[in-house]
Amino acid sequence: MNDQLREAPGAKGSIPTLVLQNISKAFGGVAALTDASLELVRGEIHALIGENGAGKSTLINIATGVHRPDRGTIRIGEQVVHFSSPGAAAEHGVAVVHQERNLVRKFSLAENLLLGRQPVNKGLVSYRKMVEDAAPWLERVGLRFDPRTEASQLSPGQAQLLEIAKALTRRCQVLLLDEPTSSITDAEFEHLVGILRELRDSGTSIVFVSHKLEEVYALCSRATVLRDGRNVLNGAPLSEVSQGDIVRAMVGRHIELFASGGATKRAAGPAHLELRGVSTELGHHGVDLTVHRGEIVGLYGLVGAGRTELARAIVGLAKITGGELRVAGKPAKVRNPYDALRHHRIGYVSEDRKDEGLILTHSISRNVGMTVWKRLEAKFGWISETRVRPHIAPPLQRLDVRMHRVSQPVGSLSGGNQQKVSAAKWIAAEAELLIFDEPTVGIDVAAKDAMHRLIAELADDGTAILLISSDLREVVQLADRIVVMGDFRILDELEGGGQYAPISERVMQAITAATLAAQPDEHDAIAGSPVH
Amino acid sequence: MAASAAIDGQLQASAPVPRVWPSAIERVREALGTQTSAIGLIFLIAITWTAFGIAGSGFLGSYNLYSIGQLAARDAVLGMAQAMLIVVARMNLAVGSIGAVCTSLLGYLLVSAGVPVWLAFLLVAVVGVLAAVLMGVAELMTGLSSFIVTLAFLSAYAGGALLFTGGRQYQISSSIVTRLGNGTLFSSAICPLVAIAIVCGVACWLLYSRNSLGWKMLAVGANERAARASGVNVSRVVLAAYALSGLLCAVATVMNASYELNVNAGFGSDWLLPSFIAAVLGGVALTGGEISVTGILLAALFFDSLQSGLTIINVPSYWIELPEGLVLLVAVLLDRARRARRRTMQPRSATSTPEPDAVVAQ
Amino acid sequence: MNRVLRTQWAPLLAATIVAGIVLSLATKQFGSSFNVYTILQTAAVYTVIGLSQMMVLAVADMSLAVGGIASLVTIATGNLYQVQHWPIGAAIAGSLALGLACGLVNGAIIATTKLSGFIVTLATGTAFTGIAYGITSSIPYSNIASVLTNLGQGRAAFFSYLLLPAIAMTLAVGAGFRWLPIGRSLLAVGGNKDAAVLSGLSEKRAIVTAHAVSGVLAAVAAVLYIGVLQSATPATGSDWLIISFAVPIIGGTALVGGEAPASGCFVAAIVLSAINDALIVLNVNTEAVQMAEGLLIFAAVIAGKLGQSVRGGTRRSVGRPSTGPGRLGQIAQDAATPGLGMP
Repeated sequence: MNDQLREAPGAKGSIPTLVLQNISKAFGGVAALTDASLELVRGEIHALIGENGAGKSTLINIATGVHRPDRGTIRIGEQVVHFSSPGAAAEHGVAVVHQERNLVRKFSLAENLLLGRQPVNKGLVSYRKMVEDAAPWLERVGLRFDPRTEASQLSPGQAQLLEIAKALTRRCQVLLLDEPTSSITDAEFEHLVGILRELRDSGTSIVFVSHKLEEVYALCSRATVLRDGRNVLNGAPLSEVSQGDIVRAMVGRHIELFASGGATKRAAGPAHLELRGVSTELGHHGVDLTVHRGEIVGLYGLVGAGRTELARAIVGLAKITGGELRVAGKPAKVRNPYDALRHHRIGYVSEDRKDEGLILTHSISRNVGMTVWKRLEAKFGWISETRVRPHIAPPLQRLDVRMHRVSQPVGSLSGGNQQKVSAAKWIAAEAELLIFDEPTVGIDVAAKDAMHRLIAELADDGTAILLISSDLREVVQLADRIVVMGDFRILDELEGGGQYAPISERVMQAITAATLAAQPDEHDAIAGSPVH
Repeated sequence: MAASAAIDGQLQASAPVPRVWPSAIERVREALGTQTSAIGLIFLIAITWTAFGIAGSGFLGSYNLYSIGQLAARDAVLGMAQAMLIVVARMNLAVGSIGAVCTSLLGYLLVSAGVPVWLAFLLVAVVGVLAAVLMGVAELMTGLSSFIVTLAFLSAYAGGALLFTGGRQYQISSSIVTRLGNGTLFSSAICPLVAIAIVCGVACWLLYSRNSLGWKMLAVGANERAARASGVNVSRVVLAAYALSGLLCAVATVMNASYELNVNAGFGSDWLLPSFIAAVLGGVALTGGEISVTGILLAALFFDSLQSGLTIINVPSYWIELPEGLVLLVAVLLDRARRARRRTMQPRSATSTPEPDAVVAQ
Repeated sequence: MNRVLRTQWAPLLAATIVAGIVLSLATKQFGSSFNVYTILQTAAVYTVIGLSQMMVLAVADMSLAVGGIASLVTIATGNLYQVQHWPIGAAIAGSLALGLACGLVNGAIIATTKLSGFIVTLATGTAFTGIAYGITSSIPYSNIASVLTNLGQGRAAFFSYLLLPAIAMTLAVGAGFRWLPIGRSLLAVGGNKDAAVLSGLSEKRAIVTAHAVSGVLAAVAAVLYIGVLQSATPATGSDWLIISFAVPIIGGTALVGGEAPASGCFVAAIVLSAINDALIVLNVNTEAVQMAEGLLIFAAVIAGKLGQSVRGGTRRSVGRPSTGPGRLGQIAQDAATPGLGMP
């Protein structure tokens, strides 16, 4: 099946459509893209792959006129273009379908399709004409609905198709799909595949952003892989690279980690956090996970594997619906982060630093102190900055937060220092279990190094640590044990602290095996579907 | 490890560890920096007093100053009642209706039931708190916005108060209450109510600067998600904010009744506007997470000085409502402009501070 | 028919009709043609007040200035007719233009400053009322054109003539939202701002339009009310705040925007007016009415929310629940909707 797909038009002798060449873009001094390129030819489906923070979104935003590149050129065919706004990109035939559903739920499918351009007859909206105009487009993407159906009736996958149809009505030549499959069912995916192939065959160029490699292989002919804002692969034909190669290209980091490399094996203490057959409202099923005192457990998986969601359930930000959660050997009920902190000393360094990790408008001391106020307050809650100071000074010092004054707003610090403040808060809280969620994404090398050392030291001091990271090298170097997660399940568990190559090999095997194992059934089920 | 340690060593050798804890003088300067609206208000009050002092006879007379103080004291407490919820990024449309409930109860207890004054005050306070907490519970249980919840209760409480009194008037004659609202303190120009407002102000100031509840309220208002994730019990903090708002409504009720004396359930119907004027003009951020207690006190004083001054220069009383609306509008627009300016200035201050990370990265 | 039954106000209307029948059997007074006329007379004014608020709710904003505009428009009508001796037609036209101007002021301030409609209209509404009081020195105009009196007091059996303009306004607003491109833009901006803006619609234009039309409708309500009261007083509108929200919300208008069921406003106005009247007929204290309104708003909003989650529940179960942190954050933020909408 795959072989036949890979014969899709390749790079040779084909007509270029949208070409982004050597694009560089920095935000506030931090480079998001460095000499990144994306070259599309007419009638191909091109995969754009990369971990979170690799620069995919920035590249898409530049291609669609949301951001303007600092350096580099954008060409449509042979013509150099400058997109000053999303509207300008749309005029050049570049359309994007975002992850967020941009539909007016109360409007009909037809009206959503023609929003802002509803057919008008003598000054009045003509619904009859609207339905007539919309029907062929709905037909084209295979939405077999009455065009008068309310958009709220659509499933996420169907909404996706409607958005594609919307892009088509604008006569787009290049269609960018930003993780179109993140919330759709397998059957819907197969349908989407059919539609996209038809579009491709009629000459549209499609960029397909996805973290699911099996989908990429099923659909795309070439792939561009970004890592740390640079091209690792630039339009490589998928017939020539294996899934393993792609994964390696995505996760391999060339940044040097600190040299100690987890060589010293820690003597793990008693089990501190135990999950037994836990299921959550977010979709986990039968998750077993144990973290011992003084142990770093790395939770690795591709984006969308359900790692952050598991962390949120542990600290009470999402509901646990089944199974048992034990902390320090006793069954624990964590209703919210307040319980987690007060009764179980669990801390969570959020990946969403700006919205959930920190209060950017408040001072450093208030941010770090938030977790200890309860402990330090005198009768009736009386407290003072002086009383808090001895508890927040050591963590700030330990993390070497570079600041002017503790009273300055956190928002005025650099990204790395913000991350340090976000972590310092939990050190001050003297958490016994600390969950780090993507602690080093989007921060500079020095801050990264500081975070790594902090995590190792905390474990040496007996803290139980759950490290969620998409950076496999980081996980391999830091973790005593690596738990591989995929599709909201635990896929595999292996010892850490060894050589990178064999471990990464096994992790990749676990992930690819899980996806391959899932594939055959899907294909059987789909074989009979009319779309195929 | 060794390499980075070496870099660290160099860095520490070259740059002395900066003093990050602000000195006492700096703390005063920082505190003043957050009080820009208060400083502006002092100027406004000075201008108002000078202008009306010259233009209208008797503006600076003790009688007039007394009545300004009387009104400003109540409005300041109303402003604080509103600010308690604005700080946690909510609002209380029912300040006046809680006032109506409390006024009715106070009248009934003192006049019809003949309850001792201290007990009446206590009961009124309890009822004020309960009425507000009930709204808080309703908000948390339904997940609706505080606007719609307090709007519904605004109607329900006002109706309930009227139902309870049956439209009766209560003539309060208790000497303690009378002296509170119509007596003098230190000078014939100062009403004892001013002292109550200042005590409330100090209490609020202590709450937000020296109490963990106040700190948590600010945190919840500035970023509820971050506060929750950091182990702040958001529901409890929000309920406490409602409770404090209700308590201050009760205090405002007692203050209002003490100078009006002849009270009924219609009291409080015109409190919504002054409560927002005092809070917004005083520099309380409508988006939550920021408060200036001195600002609220001064805003109430300015607002009532303006009103009184307009009366003194013989502006007909019918025109009094117009400046109320305009003052609020100007206050909101100024606040907007101030925040927009601060936002544009922030990046500059961020880049002007040396960026040590960059140094290490090299 | 099916569509009527599915609307949020259908059960409420059914309950009201049943209760109305029971009441008219129990007491002679309630079912009398004069009593029904008074119910409908009040309901007609409520309808237009509700429509005025609904215009703004449709774009997910709110207006606390409906009463303030009504106050100013009322005295403008009275002044132009009694003092300036304009013909009544011109006086009404001038008043409606004033209502439009007031609405434009609100809309322009909100659209340019991006402040929440709440605080802006609280301020402007007070200012409008203030001007009305200032101009009249709080003295009502008592010389009311016979056209308005006849409209306000006239009836054919139980049918109040005021229902004619009220129904006309309901139909006009309903049709405007259904058939006019600008009406669709308003609903699109209210329903999903991002989608609307990405489709090239202007958010500013929608907000200004909504407030402008809201101003005109508030003016219409004020003019109708002059006939009911037979006096043009600046006190008009002072007690319209709750009604202005109760009518559209009970009629099924979502506070989050994107919906404008004009017919719902009409039904809700009749229901509210009938409850009001029933309580008086039953000798319940009039003050209980006010309590009932508050509780009704609350019940209506909760009912709407429950209805939505039931409907949403079946839809969401199609795919695996999306689990990205973005979505989670959204839920958390929804739960914590801060009181003052816009930053």
